[in-house]
Amino acid sequence: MKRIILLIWTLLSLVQANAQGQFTVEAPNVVATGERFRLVFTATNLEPETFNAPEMENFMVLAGPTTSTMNRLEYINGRRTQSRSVSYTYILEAGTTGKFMIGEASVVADKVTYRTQPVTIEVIQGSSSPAGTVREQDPVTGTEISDQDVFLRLDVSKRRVVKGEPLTATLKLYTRVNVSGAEDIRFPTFNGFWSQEVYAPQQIDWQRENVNGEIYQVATLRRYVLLPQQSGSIKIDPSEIVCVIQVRNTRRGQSLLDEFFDSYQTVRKRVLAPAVTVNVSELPAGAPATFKGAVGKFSISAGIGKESVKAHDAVSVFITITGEGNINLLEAPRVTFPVDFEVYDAKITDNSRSTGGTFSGSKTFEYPVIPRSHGDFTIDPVEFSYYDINSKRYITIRSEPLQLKVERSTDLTAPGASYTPGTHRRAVESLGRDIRYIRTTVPAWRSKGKYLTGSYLYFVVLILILAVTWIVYVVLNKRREHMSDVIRVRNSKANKIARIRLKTAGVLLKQQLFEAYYEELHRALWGYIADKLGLSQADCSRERITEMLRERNVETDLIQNYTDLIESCEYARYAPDPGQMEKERIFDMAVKAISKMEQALK
Amino acid sequence: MKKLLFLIVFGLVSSLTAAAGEIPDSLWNEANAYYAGEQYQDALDHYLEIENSGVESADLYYNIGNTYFKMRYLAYAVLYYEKALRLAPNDPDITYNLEIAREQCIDRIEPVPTFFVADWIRKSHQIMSSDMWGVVSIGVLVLAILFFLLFLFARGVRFRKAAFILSIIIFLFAVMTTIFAWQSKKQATRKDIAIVLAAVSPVKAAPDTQGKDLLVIHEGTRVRILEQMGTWARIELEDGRQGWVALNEIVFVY
Repeated sequence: MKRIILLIWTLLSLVQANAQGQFTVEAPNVVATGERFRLVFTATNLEPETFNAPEMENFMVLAGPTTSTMNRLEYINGRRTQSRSVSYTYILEAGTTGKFMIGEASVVADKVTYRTQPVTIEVIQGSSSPAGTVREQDPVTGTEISDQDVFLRLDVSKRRVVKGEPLTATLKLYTRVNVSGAEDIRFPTFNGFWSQEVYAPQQIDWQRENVNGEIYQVATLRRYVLLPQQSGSIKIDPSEIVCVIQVRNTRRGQSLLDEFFDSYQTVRKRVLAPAVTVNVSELPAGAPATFKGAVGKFSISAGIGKESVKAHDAVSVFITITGEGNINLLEAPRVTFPVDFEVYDAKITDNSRSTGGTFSGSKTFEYPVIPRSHGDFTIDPVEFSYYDINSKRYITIRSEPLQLKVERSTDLTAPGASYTPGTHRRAVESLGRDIRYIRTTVPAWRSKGKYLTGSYLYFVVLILILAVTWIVYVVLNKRREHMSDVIRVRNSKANKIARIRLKTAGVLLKQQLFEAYYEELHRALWGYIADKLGLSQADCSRERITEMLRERNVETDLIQNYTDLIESCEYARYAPDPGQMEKERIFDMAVKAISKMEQALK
Repeated sequence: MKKLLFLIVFGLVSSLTAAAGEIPDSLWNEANAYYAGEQYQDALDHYLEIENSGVESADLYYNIGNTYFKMRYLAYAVLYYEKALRLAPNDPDITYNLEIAREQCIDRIEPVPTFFVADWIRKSHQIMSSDMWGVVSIGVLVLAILFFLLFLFARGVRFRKAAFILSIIIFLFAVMTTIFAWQSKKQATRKDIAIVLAAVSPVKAAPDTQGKDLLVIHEGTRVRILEQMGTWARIELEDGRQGWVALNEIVFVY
């Protein structure tokens, strides 16, 4: 946090260079014992009143502080910039090896105290070179420039990574000689990596660095962020540079002037950075289905352009993935839209930057969709999986589900709704095929391997059925025989009984007992036909008799005659006396009908 | 008479349903819950426990088949669907799932076309299970007998004629359904059908590991066993090709 504030403060101060004062320190990173070096404190655009020297007890102060003032006037595009700086310079010499800190120095200007940051200086064992010569300007004598004097190195931040894990590669030029320029630079190609240059200086900025106890001038030429795209050991091809080196001429003594004026010679040396191998391991197994190669640490959010929209109107769904890792290479996550949504290709907005050897920021996928039917829809949470390098496992995150209310489209002629119902009819598509679901109701359990057919029970039932049938048959048969016996007896006696009744009726007629006469006659007719047909008194009705006689092929006239006779007997019982003649006629007719019937039913 | 008939039918039906009690029911419900929660191994354990307790049902075999299918054991899925079909030959769900399981098997075998009348007869067997055919045949037989008694004892010439003809027709039906009952029992208990269990199984020309390889069949394929000899079985594919496979690479459907 402090750093960020300082950074902002520095940036602000650069913008308002005129107004804002600054107090800085400048010191080499590495010095050798016995080496003299400069420690400069510079107050820019300040009018320092007092200067408080820092603590530097581990260094010998050979001279200083010497104060110098510099005024600068610049015209850039017609703009006048004036700056004034006051610097306090120490010449120091380090006595012992180790890492030492130079404390903060401060100046007071306009009653404000400005402080410098403390600086750390590493002191290493000096070489045999005589004290007092500043080596950084020390050209090598002779044209022989060894590989130790100047070399190129490609440093990678990690040698072992997983696929997709970001790493940085820094190309540095180390030199102990006076390199005045470079030609023919061939930068490395990163086959198998996705690479981005994150540092490519316009001017070479030399730094001092301690390499195995020797002080080198080091220039950072390029810095890259790399994302491995394939697994295995990937070799980064060597990079190459041709350095132009100033070498002091060794031939001396030709002229006196040579003693005073060194003659220099330009030497070109080809410097090769050794190839670097990075071991990229495959991501561990067990990746979730939604994993598409994201490595780092991410979060996901989803949003929708409008909460409510009319059918056939377009609306955008945003899926934003924020975090750090290979964010710039992320693929669009799969969003499951409700069916009947027309979905178009996602528009991708990449807001990622490279910071500190990785990428961070956000990436937004915008899906334009057109809902084709109205209703309340839920867009399911979008799942996104990534491989977390720190915890070494896959993590799946989901966004919130989105709600979209689609209202019924009222205007079908609107330019956005070039959609008429009916024209978009189509067959119902099968989306997938799977087995049908299990049965859940408790089934009727049966004993394993037992079948009804052919079982003991089956035969028992069959035998039982046959036995019952036999019993029923025997019983019915017996009854029928008995019945037919009765009928036969009645049949044979029918004529006899009828005659007796007729005789009785004749007697009654003579005795003038008309009612009894008709009753006896009626009974004779009824009784005869019932006995003949084997009917009980209860079953006897005129219709039944007619039907049964017809079945026995008795003439219709005779049946009609007989039934009419019965009817007239019934009628006469309750009617007024029709006279003697009529009664005798009916008697004769009854005798005739019975004898005719007797013949017909033979 | 009615009571007697009722007793017969009730006795037939109840004799088929085992007096299983509540243990399979609770196992069944638990297994279904596991299946719904996609814990297929647990579901399978419960289903198999029911099966081992000596009861069975088409639904049980169907659910076991589904569970094996979800666990990607295709051969066992096919095996249990076949078992389920034996108990419920006309069940559309079992047929459908068996078809899907077969589609995922590697071997595609074109069966030898059969005569269409034989096809009809086979299909008419499969309308009902063997037990149902048995009950139906007994019912139809009783009906035929009733009509015959009617013919014997009823009055009225026309009525008796109709009863006679009907009793003959129904008796023919009784004979047919009885034949179907026996036939479908024979189908349901046949012991010569097996499913290939091994992922890859070579079919040899002789019952011998040194025998010449004739074909290679894969898991889930249905074969008919023609004979057995030691640890070998002579099999016939549905397209009529024959050969010998090791007995431990197949599993019988019964």
